Amino acid sequence: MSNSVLWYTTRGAGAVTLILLTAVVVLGVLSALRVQSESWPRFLTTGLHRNLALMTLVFLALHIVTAVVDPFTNLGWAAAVIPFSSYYRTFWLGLGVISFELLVAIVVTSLVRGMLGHRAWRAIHWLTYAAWPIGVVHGLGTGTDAWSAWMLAITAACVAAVGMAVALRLNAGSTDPLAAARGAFRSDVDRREAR
Amino acid sequence: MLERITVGASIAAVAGVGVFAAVSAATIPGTSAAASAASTSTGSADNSTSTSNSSTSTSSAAGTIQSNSGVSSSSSSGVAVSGGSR
Repeated sequence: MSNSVLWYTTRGAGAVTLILLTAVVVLGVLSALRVQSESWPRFLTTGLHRNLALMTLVFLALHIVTAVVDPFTNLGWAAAVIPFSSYYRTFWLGLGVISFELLVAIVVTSLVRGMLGHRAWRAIHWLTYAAWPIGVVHGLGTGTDAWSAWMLAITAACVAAVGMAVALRLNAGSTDPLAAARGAFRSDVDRREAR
Repeated sequence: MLERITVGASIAAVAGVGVFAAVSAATIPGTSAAASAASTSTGSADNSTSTSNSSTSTSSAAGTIQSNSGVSSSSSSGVAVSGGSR
């Protein structure tokens, strides 16, 4: 396989990973909003969110492996797992490594969610809100195509999609139908413990 | 339905890697369109030089300037091809 093919594959897989990760984040926000309709039951949102998250890791792995084995950059495997250890575009690649590791942590903890408990899983899952923008900045900083019109369009669409989903989430407030009852119960317990 | 959407998404993702790889190969600075544009500009610089030389001896200074500008644009693209744009 020629160097150029590896390089093009790295860039193609990077773009696809960004799109998939964006879809995962948007679906995650929509599932928190409990979005559903007659033709789109809620389990589809959560199921697709999970499946696309696993798919994102596969394409992220392709992105990383093709970058590491590309003899032009000669990155080495350490640069793929240790943030800011790469001689090549140290800062921007370091951001990519951090984003990758956050995603691995999110996916692994989701797979063993039953063993962790909901609170710990939820706390780690919030890291997605860090992993996605770090990934976007990594792409803008290190991507050869970052300022090409087509890549700028993809990045802008991804930022707009996540921005709209987050805005919807912030405006919706609590979507938990039992939130009021839970709040009342908690304050009742606190009052009894205070006595 | 979930299975169908997932399969469709994975096929689209695989195709997407190919499409984006092809697009990135076509749009990388210094290759394909950019490289052919550079060679065209070099050719026109040569033409302009020869034209100016043949037309009149007094315009040789201007011809040299045009020739230089053509060479400089060509060499900058050449750097991009040799890996500077990576």
